[in-house]
Parts: sequence; structure tokens; C-alpha cells
Amino acid sequence: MELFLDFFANTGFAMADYRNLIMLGIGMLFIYLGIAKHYEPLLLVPIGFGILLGNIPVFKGLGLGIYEPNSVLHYLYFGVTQGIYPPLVFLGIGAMTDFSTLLARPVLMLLGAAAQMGIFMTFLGALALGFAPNEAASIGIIGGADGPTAIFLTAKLAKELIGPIAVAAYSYMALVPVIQPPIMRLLTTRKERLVQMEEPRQVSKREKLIFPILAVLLCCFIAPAALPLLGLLFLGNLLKEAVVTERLAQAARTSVIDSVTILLGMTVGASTQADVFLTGKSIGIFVLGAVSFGVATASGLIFAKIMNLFLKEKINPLLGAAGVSAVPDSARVVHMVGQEEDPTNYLLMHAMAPNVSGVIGSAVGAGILWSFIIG
Amino acid sequence: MNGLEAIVYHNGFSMAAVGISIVFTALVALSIIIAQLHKLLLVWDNRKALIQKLRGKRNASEAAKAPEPDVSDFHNIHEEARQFNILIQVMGEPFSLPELIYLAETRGIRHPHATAAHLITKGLVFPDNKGFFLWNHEVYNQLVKGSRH
Amino acid sequence: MRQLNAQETDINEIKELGFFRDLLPEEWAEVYALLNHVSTIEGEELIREGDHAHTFFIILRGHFMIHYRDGRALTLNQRGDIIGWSTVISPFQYTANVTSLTEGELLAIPGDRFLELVQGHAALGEKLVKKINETLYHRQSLD
Repeated sequence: MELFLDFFANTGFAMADYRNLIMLGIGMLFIYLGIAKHYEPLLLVPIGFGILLGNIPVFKGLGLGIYEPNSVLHYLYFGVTQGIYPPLVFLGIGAMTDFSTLLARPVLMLLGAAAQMGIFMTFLGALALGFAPNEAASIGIIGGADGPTAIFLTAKLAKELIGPIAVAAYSYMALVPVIQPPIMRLLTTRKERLVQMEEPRQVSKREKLIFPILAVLLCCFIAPAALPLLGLLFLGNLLKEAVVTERLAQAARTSVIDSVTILLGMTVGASTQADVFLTGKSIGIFVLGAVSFGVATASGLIFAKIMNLFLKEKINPLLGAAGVSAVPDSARVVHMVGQEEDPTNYLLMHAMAPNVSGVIGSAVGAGILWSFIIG
Repeated sequence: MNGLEAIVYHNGFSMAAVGISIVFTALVALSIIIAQLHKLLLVWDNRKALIQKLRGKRNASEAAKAPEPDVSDFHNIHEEARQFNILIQVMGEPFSLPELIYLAETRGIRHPHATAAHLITKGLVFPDNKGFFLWNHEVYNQLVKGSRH
Repeated sequence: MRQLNAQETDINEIKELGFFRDLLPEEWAEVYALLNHVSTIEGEELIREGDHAHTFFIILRGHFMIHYRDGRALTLNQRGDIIGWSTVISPFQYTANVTSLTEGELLAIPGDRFLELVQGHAALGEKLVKKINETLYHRQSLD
């Protein structure tokens, strides 16, 4: 009987407290949202399952938990804490992304820059709420709406916040179709939403080939700290456009990114152990993350309206909302909101331009914050 | 420490201002460069003519002479394949190769003859053994798939 | 069409082309004396249907299209492929158009002299006409 009681004392049933149950509930919610609601299933399902794994109470000292040295999860988590996985995800994104809409209409790149206002406004907000500068920078980057970038910067500046920041970033990315439309409708008039975009010019293969080389050199000379992310993003894109490296591009956009996404999602989920996740700071991070996302969307929209004051060929200001780098979700949302007003208005292709420039902008923003804080 | 005091203490305002300025600088510079890229490429493609024009050596007889075809960029056939594919869709299959070349020529497609030869070499266009030609949709789809991702 | 100079022609390589391979040294010498090395540019018309068959060609490099009025066509790009059999077959008029699709290099034999050679040297003539017939058979008489 004593043996049985000893055994029972070491099971999850005996060790669980209400916080574990809350986190298990959150994990299951993520899995539900991913599978049933199709909200970013490729991210939410591994993260949700990781939350389950991380919140099964285990006996400390057995080398099972993600924060225990020598545990399997700890080794897998190494790719997150050292910022290895995010650049590999960027390699795959680069190999998937077609920059031709951006090359056809480079002015739309400014919308991707404007949306990064969210990062810096939230950085200020987090400082005002009493977060240390390294934490504030990590929280601000949630406004970039780019999960890998947020994880990368947090891994460099505030490792202890990776769990809540990653979960917040991916949650808000998944909730793009819920968060963005009300802001878009609020800040634009019906007439503005009806604006139809001109057909973009044809982009030659040579332009697409030269672009990743030019872009990586220019951006990394300006913001060298963006090198790990942008370096691999543009390498992936060059592999795609070069055609002769199709096998490598194919691997980058399938097996590499898929494997890394599984490991990244699962370990980030597992890092949300109740005792480190359910804290006042996490609540602050979630609130600020939502604000950051909203500010980023609004900045893009307002900047698009300002641009229209100067442009001969008016742009649809909804495109500004696609400046947040949730690729391609925010571009899809722009298209959807545009079509609600006019079913013949096809904005998807045009929205991809600020969307992909948002990816570049948020990586540059992360690099800048990193160099400011460690400098 | 909270509020404005914390922001000022940590130099937050200047970090945010400089940060967003650098993001804008990078993306504005990139957008300016890529906006000029296609123009620079056009100048590069016509460099011989431009040099001749600058040197003023071009006389009437030389001007009338057909330029030597430049097929240096034919290692990449995506764009040519796309344009020819559109023409073939209009013509229907099987199609006449000389007619296809004629159509391409009249629509201003560069190097229609060499492009046709290139597409045949790459297996995108193949004979039906009755004197007409067919478009290899499978190879074309692979090509398009390869370029899209 | 541009005439190339002798240095640009590798005699030994040409001798190994299928069309000439079975020739005896003295026969080869006769044929070689007639060969001109010419180059073409993209889109150049080599042969026009209905014209007097003035030249017989052997492809060294490049892509060529033989095409007919009814829209049919075939393309040739193999080294050693021949164009212009009408030079040795009555009524000695070209039956198709030939256009150079790319830059190319060919061996050209003046039609009348080629005919003289074929008619004047029975054994040599038989060998060459046999080669031409084989080619025509493979092309299913499109040329």
C-alpha cells in the first residue's frame, strides 16, 4: 500500500495544481482552434500539443522537463533559446515567397515600413509599464506579427519571456482575421475601400534574381543585426528564383521549414509551464501584444492614406493593414474586406507587396532593437 | 519606475525614433533601388546601341543592318515559355510552328526564332510527327511550379 | 549568310560526319573541294520554296526549320543533318522554305556542282544519294 501511495505521489494526478489545468485547457483550445477553426493549424497544433507536454506535472530531477538540463526537450529547445530555428523558418519563407508584386510597385514597400510603428510604440508602452528595456523590446516585436522574428529577438534579449511572447505572437497571428477587420473598417471610408488598383507591370526573371542579392546587401549593411534572419530569407528566395537550385529551394520550403516548425512549435509550447507562464508579466505581455498588433495595423492604414495625398495613382488604403508581416494572412484579410465592398475588387496580389515588405521591415526592426539593447 | 519617467530614463523616445527611422531608411532605399532596377537592366541590354550612339559612329548603313541576335539570356525560359504558351492557347493544338513564330514576331516578342528553338530543345514544344507541333503541358507545369514557389 | 574562313573549319571533324564517313580518300578530296563554310543568323531565310535549288547544306551547328506553305514544319539541329536534297533530284526546285532559328554554321555545296559530282562519279554519286534517301526516309518525306 505504501508503495502504491509513493507511486501515486509521483504521478501527474497528485502533482497537478489549478495552474497546470488552466494551461492544459489553453493547449487544448489551441489544438481546437487549429483543427476545427483552421486558425494557423501548422503553428497552433504543435504549440497546443507542446503546451500539453510542458504542463504535464513531472517529478523535478528526473530530467524530463524542458527547463531541466540534459532532458530531451531541453536539447530540442536549444534551437529556440539560441535563435537557430527562426532563421531556418525564414529560409523556407524565402523559398516560398514571390517578390514580384513588390518589384512591380516598390512604393508599397513603405507600407511595410509604416506598420513597424507598432513595434516601437509598444516598446515605449512596455517601458512605461515598468518592463526592463530588453523585455520591452521583446514585447514590442510582437507588433511585427512575425512569430519567428519575435522568438529570435526574445531568445537574444529575454530568454525567460520566450514562452509568453511566442504564444502571444502566434495567437495574434492566428487571430489576424478577427483583430484586423474592425480596425480597417474604422479607419477607412467606403469610398477608400472601393479603390481599385492598377494592374502591376510585368517583372522580369532577372529582376527577381537580382533582388535578393541587392536586398540582403543593402538591408544588412544598414542593420547588420538583421543578418541571421534576412540572410536566410534572401538565400531561400535566391534558391527559388535561380531555378538551377530548385532541389534546394524545394527542400527549404518543404522538409526544412516543416521540420523546424514542428520543433519550434512544440518546444515553444512546452516552454509555457504553468509556474513560468501564468504570471503578471504574461498578462502584461498579452495586453501589450494586442495593442502592438492594433497599432501596427492602424499605422499601415493611416500611412497609406497619407501616401494617397501625394500619389497620382491612388492606392487602396486597406493595403496598409497588410504591412504587418503575417504572411499571407493579413493580405488575405485585406482582400476579404475589399471584396465585402466590391466583389470585383481583387486586392490579394497587391496586398502581398506590403505583406512581404513587412517581413523585411520586422526583421530589420528586430535587428535594430537587438543592437540598441546589447549596445 | 513607471510611465514617462521610465521611458526617459531608458532613453526610450530616442531609441524608438531612431529605430523607426532606420527601418524606413532601409525600406525606402531598397524601394528606390528596385524601382530603378528594370530601367538599369534595359540600359544594360541596349548598351551596345547606346555606346554607338554616344560615340556617334553609327552611320545610316550600319543602322539599317539587322542587329546580331543576343541570346545570352536564354538560359532562362520561364518568361518566353509563358508568352509562347499564351499564343499557343490562342492558336489551339496542334499548331503550326512557322505560324507561331510569325505571331510572336508580330507581337514584339524578342528573338521569336531562337525562343522557338530553345523551347523545342527543352522539350516544351514537340512535333506530332505530322508536321505540326504540340505544347508539353507537363513540362510547362513543372516549370511554372518551380518558379512559383 | 556569311562565308567563314578556312581556319574556322576543322577538316578532320567534318570528315567524320555521317554524310561523308564512307567516302574513299579520293572521293572525299573531290567533295571537300566543293565545301564552303557559312554562318547564319537568327531568322535568316536559307531556302525559299519554288526557287532553283542553288545550294546543298550540311548542318554543323544551330537549329533550322523546314516549313511548308500549309503550315507544316520540322526542325533540324543535329550535326550532319542535310538540307536541300532538291539540288540532286529533278526538277531541281526547292519544295520547302528553310529558316535559321538560331545562329548557325553549315557546310554549303553549290547545287549545280554538287549535281555534276553526283552525276559524274557513279560510285560516289550512289553513296551520296543513298545517304540522302536514308535521311528523307527518316524525315517521312517532309523535306
